[in-house]
Amino acid sequence: MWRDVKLIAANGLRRSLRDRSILIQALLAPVLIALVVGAAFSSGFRLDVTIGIADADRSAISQRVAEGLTGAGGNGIAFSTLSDPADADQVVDSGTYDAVIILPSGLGEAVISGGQAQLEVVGRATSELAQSVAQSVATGVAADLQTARVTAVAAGAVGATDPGALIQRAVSSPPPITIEQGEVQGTFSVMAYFAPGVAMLFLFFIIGNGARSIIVERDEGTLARILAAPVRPESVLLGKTVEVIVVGVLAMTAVWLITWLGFRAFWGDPLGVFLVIVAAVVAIAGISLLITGLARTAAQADALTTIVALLFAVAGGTFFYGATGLLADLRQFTPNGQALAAFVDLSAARADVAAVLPRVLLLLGIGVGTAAIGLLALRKRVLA
Amino acid sequence: MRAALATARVEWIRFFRDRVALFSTIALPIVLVLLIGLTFGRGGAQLGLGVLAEDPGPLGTSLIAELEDSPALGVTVYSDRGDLYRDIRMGLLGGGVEVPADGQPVQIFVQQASSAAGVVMSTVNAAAAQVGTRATAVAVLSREVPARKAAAAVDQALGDVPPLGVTTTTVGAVSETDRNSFALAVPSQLMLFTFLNGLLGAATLVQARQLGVFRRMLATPHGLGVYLSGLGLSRFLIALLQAAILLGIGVLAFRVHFGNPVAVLVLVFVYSVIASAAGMLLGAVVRTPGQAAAIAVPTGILFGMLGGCMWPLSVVGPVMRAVGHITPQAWANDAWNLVINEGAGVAGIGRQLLVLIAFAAGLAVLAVWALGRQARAGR
Repeated sequence: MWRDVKLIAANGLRRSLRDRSILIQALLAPVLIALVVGAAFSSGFRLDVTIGIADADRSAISQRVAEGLTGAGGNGIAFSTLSDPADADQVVDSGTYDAVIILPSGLGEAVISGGQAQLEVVGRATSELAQSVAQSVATGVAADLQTARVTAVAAGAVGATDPGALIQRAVSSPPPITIEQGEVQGTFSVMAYFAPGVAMLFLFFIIGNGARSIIVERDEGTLARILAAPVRPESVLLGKTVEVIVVGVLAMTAVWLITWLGFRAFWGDPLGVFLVIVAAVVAIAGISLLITGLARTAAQADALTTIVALLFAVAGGTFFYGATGLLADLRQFTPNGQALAAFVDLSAARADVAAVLPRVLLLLGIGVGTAAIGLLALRKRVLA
Repeated sequence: MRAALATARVEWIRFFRDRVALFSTIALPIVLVLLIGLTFGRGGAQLGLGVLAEDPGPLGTSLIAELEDSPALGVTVYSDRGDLYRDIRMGLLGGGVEVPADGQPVQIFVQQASSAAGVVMSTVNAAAAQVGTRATAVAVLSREVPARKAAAAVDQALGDVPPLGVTTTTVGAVSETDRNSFALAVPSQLMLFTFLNGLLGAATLVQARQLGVFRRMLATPHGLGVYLSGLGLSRFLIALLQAAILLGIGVLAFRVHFGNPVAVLVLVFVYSVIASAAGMLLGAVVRTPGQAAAIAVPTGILFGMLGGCMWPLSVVGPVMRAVGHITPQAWANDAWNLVINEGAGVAGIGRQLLVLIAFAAGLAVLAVWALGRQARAGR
């Protein structure tokens, strides 16, 4: 029996490798699409925000604040002085500045007396990011000034000998919470996300095609001739199953190696990656066999495969990784979404084999379960 | 003319009998518009911030509370460092902070090449400054008076001194695509799918070639031209139907203001010609229906990505933006943006329309030439 399985699988494999459509879908499409996504996002997004500082107070305190801010900046945020605060709306609207922080008239006096004062931020409706940055900066300035105000009032209350020196110390002392920039470990390559995602979408078509060939061969009469020979129906089914799994694993492994070795998209621990590839292919093969087993005609199987593949691709996050909410929840219910989550764990979280094992087992379980039902149905209806 | 219309009618009926075609033409784009509109439309400008805090002190706890109050950030608590790094790397989070016991520095994690880095850093710094007011004042005063007395005086002062607030005014109007996420989702999916389905139409053409319809048409008094016009017309009408459904849903269900209706109509019209002509061209160059599908899907996705249907071209670098403009999608996207957000009419998108008409004419001429060649060669 195993000899027949091997022969049938090898024959199918040979025919698949000669089929240009399979090469386009299995290799060219995932690699090309991953390359385009990689090129689109290789430079990342850079923040480029210019915030104007308008000093309407012109007191010693407001001038110090303005000077302190214009000397700061970095991380894509630049500060520059705006000569006339009355122009704030106009310069923001025209785009000269992305946002303006106004130090209002009477600010210096309010800091010393503890009276009412409000910093003002002018932002543009179309530039929420810049407005958000300006608000944060103004909040930081207000908090520093508030520290000086509170210190001044408290110093007066306890009868401090030199309140001025205390205020000075409060303003210049290191903050109680120091902030350091840490390093984000691990890497995430958009290519290492889109390549397997797109590869899995097209695997549905390729593997579906392979599984469907059982029905096509029945309709064309070749299956009857095979079964007339001393070949058991199980050998035919197993041979086809082995064929589609080998084609799938070969195709995805090739995509992995091309994007990894050729374009430096690191997918993570190689053993883990290979296991996830095998598990994903088994799951897709199982679902394809189930669809083929349940369909009445080859055309129906083709239609169902396309619909299922596209729905899984959309729900599984093949086209957008940065989604939260509904899409992120839906993803868990698709085999490709589970496989993508495992790939992301391997690449971006530097997970090891043990960490992705639960998902691998889940995918294998889905694959074996659906394949069993599909094969039984095929045995009963197509090979009977 | 009557013969061409009859051909179009037959193709139209065949299309409506094909369940996959109906699914990918009508159901799938609607599902995608819904998912994208609902997923990316919510949350506004809030950036995700992951917080790792195993055992924060009182200051650290106040800092986390302050961050949670920040309108710019949506805070999620993480217990696993690997998960936090992964989500920052993937861009799911704008950044992360690790809040240790008081006295140790707070670690801030951002991805350098991201627009979120600046927002996260300035917001965390501002929150730290706000939380630090009391601690700083008490520490400074404790040099003069006993700590307990200093703390009491500072608490009293905190109650007496009105907070120094920040008020915000916003100038200008929010663009339609910023206001309503469906204003972006509908045209981008419309372009992605009309083009994809136009290309998938190639399969019908190849099938007709294989069945010898071309040669039979050459034998009739109508000739091949009539058949091809009918086929093109049916594909064009399918593209128009698809566009009408998506635009209708956009207007009726999601209240999108697409702008000048004449400009929208002209744009959809020209783009539908491009989509159907591209499908006819593909139908002329491939050999089997399987090959047509194998090329159509990746090409449709690739052109959609390059042309800004999967993400706006404003987020990619200048090189990719320039490369993207080899596709009609990018020019159509520019036109949609002008019509929806800038209130442009037909004259306002004149340049984009001219380029799109050139695409349409070029593809149509190429398709007719290639199909004619195939027919004469008897293929």
